[in-house]
Amino acid sequence: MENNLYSQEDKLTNVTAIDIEGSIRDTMQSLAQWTKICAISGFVGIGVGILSLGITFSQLSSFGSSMLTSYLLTQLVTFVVSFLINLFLFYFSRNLNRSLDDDDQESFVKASLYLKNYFRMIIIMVIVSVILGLISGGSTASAIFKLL
Amino acid sequence: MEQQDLITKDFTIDETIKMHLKETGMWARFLAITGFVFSGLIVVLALFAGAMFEDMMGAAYSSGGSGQGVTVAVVYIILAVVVFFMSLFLFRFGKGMKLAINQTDQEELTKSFLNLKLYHRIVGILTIIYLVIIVFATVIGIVAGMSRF
Repeated sequence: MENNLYSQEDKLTNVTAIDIEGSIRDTMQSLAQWTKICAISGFVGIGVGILSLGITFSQLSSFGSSMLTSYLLTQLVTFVVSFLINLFLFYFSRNLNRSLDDDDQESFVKASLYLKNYFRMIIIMVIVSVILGLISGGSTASAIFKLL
Repeated sequence: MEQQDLITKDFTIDETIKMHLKETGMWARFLAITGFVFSGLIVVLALFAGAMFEDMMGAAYSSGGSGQGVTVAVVYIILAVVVFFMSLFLFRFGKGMKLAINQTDQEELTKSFLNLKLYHRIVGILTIIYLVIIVFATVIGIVAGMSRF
């Protein structure tokens, strides 16, 4: 009975907010570290992608201009979206680190907002990719059936 | 009074953060389910691609595919396994976050963030591997190109 009362009281004191202390701090510190690694390697990956796009662009100059433009445009949109995704992740990591170091609530609010935007951006990218994939797949399939 | 002290001393998950994290958890679950579907599709593709590659190689060379179709299928299956585990960590993060916010459960929140860390660990390691491969391929390409002259 006393135990029940104690757990009830314990629950009631925790209802308003979750305190960030103890093991959760270590986990979050480690999370901030890995997200920073992901974001930085993502930026490097985008840089490498842009470089290889430049090389491809010089090699593909013999192709039709409309085909080349659409290819270039698709690649550029992909790079911009990827850059934004990595930027959100980087800001999340930076704000999370800052909030853990200084016990700064405002930075933690920003970090949670950036994490939300990061996932939102990925979802938008996935949905657009699936729709574009279905459209291109459908048009390819119809072209094949016409040939048959 | 003690609770008030705790809130002012340490930073907490307040209502605004709860709102953001709840939505993040929802998006993460959605992304994870999409990932599960993709990993299933990759497995199906692995079976077809393996057989198709074997047929193509068999038609091109008299010696047949000599197991190259199996290699292609294995690579696809490894890819599917990686995507599955990434989605699993993401799903656990989303589910844990929902539970932690709804029940104000600190332990569940720790587990949830741990799964997010594991997800990003896999993403980070894979990106670094990809970058290393790209650097090696570029170096090999440059060396091969220079040896022509």
